[in-house]
Amino acid sequence: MNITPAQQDSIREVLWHNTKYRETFEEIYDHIITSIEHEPEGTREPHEVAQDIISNEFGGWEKLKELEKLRQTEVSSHIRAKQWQYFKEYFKAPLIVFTLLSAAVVYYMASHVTRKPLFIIIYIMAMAPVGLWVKVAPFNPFSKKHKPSVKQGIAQSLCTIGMSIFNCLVFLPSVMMNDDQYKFFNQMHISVLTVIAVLYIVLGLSIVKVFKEDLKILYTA
Amino acid sequence: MSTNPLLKGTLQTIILKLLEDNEKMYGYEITQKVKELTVGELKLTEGALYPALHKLEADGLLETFTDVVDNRVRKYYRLTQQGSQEVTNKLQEAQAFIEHLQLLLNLKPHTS
Repeated sequence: MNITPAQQDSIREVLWHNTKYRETFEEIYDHIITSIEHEPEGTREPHEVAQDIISNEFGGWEKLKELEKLRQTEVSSHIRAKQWQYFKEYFKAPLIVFTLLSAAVVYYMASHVTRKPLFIIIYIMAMAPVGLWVKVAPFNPFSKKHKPSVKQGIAQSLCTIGMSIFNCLVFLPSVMMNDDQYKFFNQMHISVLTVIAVLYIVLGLSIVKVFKEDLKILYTA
Repeated sequence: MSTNPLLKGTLQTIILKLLEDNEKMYGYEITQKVKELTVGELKLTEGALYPALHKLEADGLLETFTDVVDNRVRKYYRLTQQGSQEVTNKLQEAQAFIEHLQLLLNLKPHTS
């Protein structure tokens, strides 16, 4: 069956409003249009075929939403499990050597020179993943012309976790306790700050690895 | 044509086997291939197919890539290295299951 550009646009518009993620939209749109193209000529109208596929093959719009939710959960669990695995690798041989050396260097600098490097390390490792996220998030979240992908949503939450923890440690306590004297980097013991800095380094590196190994689709999107 | 509920348990095996035989496929193509191979006796619903494909992808058995066909994005699935190894295991599992079913349900053809 031939399908005109106007008919394609009409189906596209309905599907666009009923899907949350780009992957779902693209896959189902292609499925519907391909089905219509294979439909014998003169049997049904294209929009009837499309409606039939959504209602009977996918089980309706609600089922489609469930399918999206399920996909989001599966991809999210997979990516988070991978990130946790990469994170843990820094506490096992051979990468533990790097972790221990980092800890020693950071502790030495903070205790013998100045605490500033601790602030710089923690700040950079908290903000760097956000930069990584900005690089791979070409869409404007307020634009109606773009849909986020499942992986972009997960990347966003992964990349902002460091910044969120940073805010919780540095700014939130002084606001919550209304304490102007609270100075996280000056008051905290150097060993605690060293542990936090090393955890931030490992967290940042594990996120970079996730981006390289498991979120590759973002670079080609 | 039926959307046999027995299909559900073997859906992943069917997908893996089809992708082993065809290298790369997209969703619609898989549904049509099942229809063609079973001469229209079995029908794979899209509501069952896509969650199974996404699960296999999340488990690392399938990988995807996209191509632009007639101005629209087409998503292809293909086996990963891990997926290729898993096909043999899944087929052996299915074979064993069918043999047990034959014993339980006395479905073995009588030879005289």
